[in-house]
Amino acid sequence: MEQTLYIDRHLHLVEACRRGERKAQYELYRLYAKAMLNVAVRILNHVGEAEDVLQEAFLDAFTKIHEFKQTSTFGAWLKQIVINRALNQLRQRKAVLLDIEAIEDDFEEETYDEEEIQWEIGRVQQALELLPDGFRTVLSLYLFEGYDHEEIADILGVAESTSRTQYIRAKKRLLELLKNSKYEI
Amino acid sequence: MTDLSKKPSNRLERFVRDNREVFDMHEPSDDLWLKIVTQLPTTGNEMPQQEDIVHTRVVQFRPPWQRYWRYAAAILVFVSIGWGYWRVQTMDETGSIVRTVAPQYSKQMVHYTDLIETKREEIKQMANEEPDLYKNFAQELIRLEYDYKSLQAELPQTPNQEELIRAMMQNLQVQLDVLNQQLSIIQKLNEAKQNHGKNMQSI
Repeated sequence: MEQTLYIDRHLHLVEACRRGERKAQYELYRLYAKAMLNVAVRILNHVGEAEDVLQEAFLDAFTKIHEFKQTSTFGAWLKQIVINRALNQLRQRKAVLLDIEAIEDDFEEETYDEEEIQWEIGRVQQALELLPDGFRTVLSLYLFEGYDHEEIADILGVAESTSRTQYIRAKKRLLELLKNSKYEI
Repeated sequence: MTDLSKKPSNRLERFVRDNREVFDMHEPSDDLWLKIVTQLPTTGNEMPQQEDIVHTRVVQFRPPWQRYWRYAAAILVFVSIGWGYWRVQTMDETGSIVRTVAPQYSKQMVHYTDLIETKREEIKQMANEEPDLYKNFAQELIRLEYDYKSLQAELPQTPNQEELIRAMMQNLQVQLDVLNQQLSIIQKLNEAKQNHGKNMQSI
């Protein structure tokens, strides 16, 4: 029941948006800007670039609103645009999104010692910022944005197994960083 | 390969899931919406189809900021020189122009202005408790106010006063939206403060 109401409410805004109504556009902006900015910041690790991406993404969404087919929610559709634009921005920086050779090299399935870590938001946030771009991207898509490996593989244009492996490695690195920061914070 | 991340014992996944909202710590800058709106194509349909707005004719409506915000700096100098006198004068002038040119907006404009005043007062009350946050909130509105005042200053001379009045109405609506958002943040903050002890334990 709640789900239906939620979708209806946004459809109404999307419809008004199709007619070019500025207030509906602003309403959608207000609803999604913050969440979408944070999606972009996590991928880009840079607030200024993330804001540029957000601006472009909203312009895209509003000018291409007729392409939105309602097979997903507006939010999911917008998030896809934000992620694609953020990834393009990363590629422009010549960031290496996936380092496959390195994966084959030192990948071992080992147990993570997660018990020893003191879990704090600031600490996790800091560790995320220290990750290489490729690691942070996969980790944030899986952990924060809720995509599964099949979807991530599709977004990044890699094999599903690569996404899985990359995620495990990224997580391992993150946990190492978290453990090392134990005495610093 | 087994997907380790799917195991229930994974604390990282659980930690992020439980604190998902807190991780969204960045806020978009105040002027981002203006940057977007000035680049949007115009369709002549920007105003909401509200029942209380009578559409007598279709006016090709371009985003007001595209044309007017650049003058804001110049207007600011003007504003700072004759502030007191100017304010009283223009408020009267604006009111009488609106009543003559677009009486359908007159009541709404007064209503919006009053609401904005009340909400600003409400927000001001937290200035002592949260000075930094209050400063941020106040800054968010500066640009919108400049825009509004530059529109107001243009009003007596502009050839299409009705169009400009619509732009002013739209500006007031955006100001109200921003203020509402700020108030809801304050409310959440107060709630969070009340639950602070409880939250600390759960982390």
